[in-house]
Amino acid sequence: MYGLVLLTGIGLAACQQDIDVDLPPYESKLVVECYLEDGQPIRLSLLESQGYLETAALPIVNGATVVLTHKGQRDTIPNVPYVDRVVGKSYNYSSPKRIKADYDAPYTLTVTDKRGRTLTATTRFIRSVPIKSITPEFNKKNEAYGLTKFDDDPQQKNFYRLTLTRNRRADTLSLDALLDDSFSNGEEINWGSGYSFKPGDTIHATLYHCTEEYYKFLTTAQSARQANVNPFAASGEVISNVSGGLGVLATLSYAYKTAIVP
Amino acid sequence: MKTFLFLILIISTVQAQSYRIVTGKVSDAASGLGLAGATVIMQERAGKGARTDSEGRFTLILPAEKLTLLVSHLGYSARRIPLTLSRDEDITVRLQPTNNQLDEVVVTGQSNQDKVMSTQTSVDVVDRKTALSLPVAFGEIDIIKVLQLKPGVKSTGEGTSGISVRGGSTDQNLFQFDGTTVYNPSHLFGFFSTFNIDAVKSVSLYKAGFPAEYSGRLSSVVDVTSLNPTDSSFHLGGGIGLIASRLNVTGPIGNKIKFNLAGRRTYADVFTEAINRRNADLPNNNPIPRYYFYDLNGRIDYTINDRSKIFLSAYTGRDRFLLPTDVFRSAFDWGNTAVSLHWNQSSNDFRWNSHLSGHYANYDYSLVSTFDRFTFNIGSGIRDLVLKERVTWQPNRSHTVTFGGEVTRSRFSISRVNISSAKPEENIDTGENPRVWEGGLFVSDDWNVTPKLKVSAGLRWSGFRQDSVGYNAPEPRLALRYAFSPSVSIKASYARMVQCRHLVVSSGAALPTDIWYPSTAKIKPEYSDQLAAALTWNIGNKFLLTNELYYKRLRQVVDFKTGAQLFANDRLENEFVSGSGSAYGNEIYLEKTSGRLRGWVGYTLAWTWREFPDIENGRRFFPRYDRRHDISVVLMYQLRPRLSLSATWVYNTGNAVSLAMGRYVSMDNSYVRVEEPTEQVVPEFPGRNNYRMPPYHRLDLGFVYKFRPRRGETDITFSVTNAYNRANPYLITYQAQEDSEGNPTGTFRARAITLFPLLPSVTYNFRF
Repeated sequence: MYGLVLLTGIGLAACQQDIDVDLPPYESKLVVECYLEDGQPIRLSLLESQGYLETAALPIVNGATVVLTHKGQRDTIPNVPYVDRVVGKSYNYSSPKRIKADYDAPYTLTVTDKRGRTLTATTRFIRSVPIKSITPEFNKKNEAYGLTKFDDDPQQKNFYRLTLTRNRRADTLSLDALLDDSFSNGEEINWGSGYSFKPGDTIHATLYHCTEEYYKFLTTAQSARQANVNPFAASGEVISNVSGGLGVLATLSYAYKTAIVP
Repeated sequence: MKTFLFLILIISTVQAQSYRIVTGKVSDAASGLGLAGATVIMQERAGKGARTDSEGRFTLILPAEKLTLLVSHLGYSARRIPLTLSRDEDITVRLQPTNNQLDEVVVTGQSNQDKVMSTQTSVDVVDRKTALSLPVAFGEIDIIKVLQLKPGVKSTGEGTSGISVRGGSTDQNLFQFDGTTVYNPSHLFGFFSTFNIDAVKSVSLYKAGFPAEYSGRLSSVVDVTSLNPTDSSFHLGGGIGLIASRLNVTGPIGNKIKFNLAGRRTYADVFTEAINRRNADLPNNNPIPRYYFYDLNGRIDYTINDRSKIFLSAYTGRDRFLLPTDVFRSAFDWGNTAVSLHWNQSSNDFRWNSHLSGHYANYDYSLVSTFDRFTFNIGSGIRDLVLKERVTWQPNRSHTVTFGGEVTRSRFSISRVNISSAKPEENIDTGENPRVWEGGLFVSDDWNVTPKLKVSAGLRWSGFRQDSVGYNAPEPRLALRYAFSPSVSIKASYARMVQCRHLVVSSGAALPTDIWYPSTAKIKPEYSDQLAAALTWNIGNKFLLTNELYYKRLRQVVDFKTGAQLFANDRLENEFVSGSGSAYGNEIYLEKTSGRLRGWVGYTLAWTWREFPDIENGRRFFPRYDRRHDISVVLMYQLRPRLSLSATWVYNTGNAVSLAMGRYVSMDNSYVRVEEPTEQVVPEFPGRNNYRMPPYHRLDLGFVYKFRPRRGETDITFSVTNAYNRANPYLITYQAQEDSEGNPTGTFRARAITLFPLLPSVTYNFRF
């Protein structure tokens, strides 16, 4: 009977096999990833993209000239590695100078590597949106989800990223939601997670108020990952504010709040 | 010079003979209504024949001599009409119904002459008989999939019934069932069409040279006609297939009413439910989702008198997918309803014919999920009420004038998202419900200028209004035919089509969740202008050769901008981008229309382009369904009186798809911990549809054996899909490689996912 069911599964039990894909020669591009945060030192990773089927190790780009410009002031970010052991992330360019958020003028990053390749990216700080509350809501099994509430500013188009973690702020995400205000413009936004919390847990909520460029980078990078495995997914082009390369330069403006699950 | 002399020779040879024009109408003897598809041939010369149009009319150019016309139609007794042609003639032939609907009259060269002499270019007609003769996947006879074997028509995906016509996207096809729009004509995510073969008489696909009565889509009109009940006694028929069974009842009620009821349903869920019940008590039981689809068709014909007839046609069909886990229950339900009432009446001399009809169409999908105290309801839909009138007037032998109009009131339900629970602050309710008016007036004239030259000229005026936003546009239509001889003609046509409702297709395939969206102030109507030219040659009444060139220009076609937000968006119009496109190509088609071996070979060489200023900075790209080469071979062979064999082989250039060429790492910000390194990999797609899939080819085989039961007719149909087990990639994806301990190595390999291996199937059909 299982055989019949499978046969009648209309090809849902699809076959997979290795295939030779004749990819054209791939020209690597510079990839930068840099998040500016008020009061935090500057760190960034500068890598190269590589052909999908290449076997090279992580293509780190060292020896490049990296300059952050703000109001005509140029700060060179030296090729000094920095390792964030809490979340296990490494950066190959860092500066101890701490950023002071300026909400009125843009920040521009310029990178020129030893091969003469140049990329530029510009971003700006926007103010964070406070979290009004983070509330545990229970089901019959005494499992809780986190209901986060915040107000949307009707005067502007807003883009948000809401993350929830359990017990530690930098941990596996229980919720990673990207949302804009298209269906709740100017209203209170309520956003819930899955039932992934238990009594005694602490819910850590971080609400990022994203620039449109950063939001589009996040959503389209997510779409690109889906397009790689899903024939019905939308196109996989990634929108980036980086010219001459790939990646993103973004500011982190967020509100952070915790709640203990009773 | 040699060519010119050759043409002069041909023309003068033709002119040396004496011909007369015979026009007429073939009608049902009881009702007087015209019989579409009836065959009229000259008995003395089998090569000279015609097939009647939708009103039962025909035109023949015959030698001025004493001859006999043989007039026949499926389900009617054939008649012989002796004529002595000393002048042009206009005749009416009335046929008596036979008792057995399946007594098919096989007439050689049945429609070749009609195809040569018609002004219509770019039309393909598939009838039940052809559909029943060809191999089918899973035993499900699908008349729409037969269309995919015609030149210029491409399948939108492996095994699916979706079509792309001359470079048009899936939403550019107007599917009509007895004139009622069917918005999503497929089941099971496109693998089967909604048209049950027991309820379908024929399907006509117009690719260019559209008659003036049609509008609303840029690339094609797929006109599906229901099977008109003609039986004078009750019959029960149906079929038992691998995944679905069919049942139909047809018969009379009194002298004036005849009906046909047909149903079809899949039954895999019967087995899966049994398995679920058996495993219900097992630990960690993961129940199999329940899925089924069904179709119900009904048609009732009422003959008022020999000049007036009413019929009601109704269709409804739905797909249901149920996920019955304890924690998360989900029901996904989608389907169409198409109901129409038709009143056909003619004047005493049959020069006037009126066809008045009212239509109701509905398509909707709904995804309802319950999770704890939450209920999520997501859906979209469209509902139409339509009134149409078409009048045909034949003032003299040279002219047939058709005019009429239609008006449509539509209600859209777009991106409805409703999340409800006991707590009001957790509720979300969003969506748009625009209502629109749409209408059109049309007039056209078929004019036999000379026996060789025929002109069909028409004009349609279409209008659209939503609130304060309105559009209207003229849609000129022109078609010319010049017959070098009764066997050879050249044709040319021009047609403009306007489309004011757009399908939100987020992928290359048509899915039930795709959303119909009306034009707004931001989203202008889409336009297509198509030129086509054709050479048609009836070769000895055994073969029909056509060669068609076409060029189609598309304006204001819509797509989505990169990174479009399609879910829960009350302002979806902001996500559209507008652009242009073009499609051009050449289609060669050779059909063998008589004998024990019948079939056709088609080859299309084509290019299709799209260009959007807001996508990739206006770079021109190939849409997914652009295919340079497309070959189809169809053979049907009557080996024995009760045994027929068939084979189809298709070959086409692979789809243009987006395939990542590179990859890079994006770690995310310092507050986000990413567990799997592969989740940090971002594929880099260099451009839209930058890669060609490998060529697609497949051989399907079938045979039909007819039994000799004591009563009725039965047959068994065997089919083998993908007979040489070609692994046609449906998707190419990259997968991270792992070492022997399951740890990622940081390298990737390309994997091809294929859907259909060699697949046998069997269907038992009966009719008593």
